[in-house]
Amino acid sequence: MKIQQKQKDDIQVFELDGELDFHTSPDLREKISAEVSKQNHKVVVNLKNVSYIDSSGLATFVEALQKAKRASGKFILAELAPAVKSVFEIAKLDKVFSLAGTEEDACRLAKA
Amino acid sequence: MADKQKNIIEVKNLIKRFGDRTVLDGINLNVPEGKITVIMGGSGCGKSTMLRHLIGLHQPTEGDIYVDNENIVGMSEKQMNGVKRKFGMLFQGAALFNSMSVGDNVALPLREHTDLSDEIIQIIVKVKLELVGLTGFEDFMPYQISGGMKKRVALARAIALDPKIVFYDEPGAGLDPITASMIDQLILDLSQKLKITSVVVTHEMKSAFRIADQMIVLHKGKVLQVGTSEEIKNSSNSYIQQFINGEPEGAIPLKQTSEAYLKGLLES
Repeated sequence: MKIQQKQKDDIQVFELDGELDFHTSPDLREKISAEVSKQNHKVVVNLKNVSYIDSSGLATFVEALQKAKRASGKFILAELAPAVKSVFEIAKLDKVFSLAGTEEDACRLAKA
Repeated sequence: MADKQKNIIEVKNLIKRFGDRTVLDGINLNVPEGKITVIMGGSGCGKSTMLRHLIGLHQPTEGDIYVDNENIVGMSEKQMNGVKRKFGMLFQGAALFNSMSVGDNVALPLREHTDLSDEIIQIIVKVKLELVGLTGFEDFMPYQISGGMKKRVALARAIALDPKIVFYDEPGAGLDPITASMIDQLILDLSQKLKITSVVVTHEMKSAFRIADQMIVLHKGKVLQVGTSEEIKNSSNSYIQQFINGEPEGAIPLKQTSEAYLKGLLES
């Protein structure tokens, strides 16, 4: 999986490309954890090019959300494909996360 | 059906002999992806032996078994371990480790087969326990929960690694009818929500008809009929009718004829 990180104003945006599974999620965790643990940080993850996510990917996002909340930050997921969104729905986590249709919407939510 | 159904398991001309005894006698069967296939038949029909072949515990005398396009017959242990990652197994007796908490039982395959951190594993355990309706039971020990709950914990463990296929060996065995139907509902839920392919070996008729998309009836090591619940229910085969109605008299002999008895006695 390719992970690209860019800064948009005061928001850290991660763009993921590939499958998020047991093999790839530890790498993502390491990169995201460093950002969401900082006080008041805003993080957006764009999942437009993620075709599959397993339980470890889901758990990685849950942990990131926990850390962001503890650090009074924002953690927003954007552009989830239906198959990826259904993983959140099955685990009853779709209402817990802020899910945005576009990266722009996600950035707006992060700034709100 | 417009879409061509992909078979995630294909068994071709499977024969298994133990000495002179042929237990599986030229089995051909397909398991469609994302569906619930029930393999049923009376005691000694070969269904448990069939299951053991599908999960790689037995090697056939002849024939091939394709799991997700790979022939598992003759695979090395290392190759087979790769295939085993694709499936989970719910054993008849739940097979939980009594010395471990519910949470640790579910976490076990994640700790054994992945490099995930414990924090991530704990989150996955919580999600899996929620899927089987056991949120909050992480710290319970197996002796503190009922038989039905143990089965659900075992199911949470079976799906811990997000398998494509889950094998169930007599999932309702030893459970009261209400608990058994709850397990059936869980099998249906997992199949529908997670698109998991389920292969269920059972002789419980009520359960089989409740959950099956496809039924495979085995008798004397052969496939007697493959069909939907309705097709099996309305089968004209006298063996199948006797079996599903639980009748003692019929095409399946309860005991051998006196002729067979005398022959066996005098020729042994």
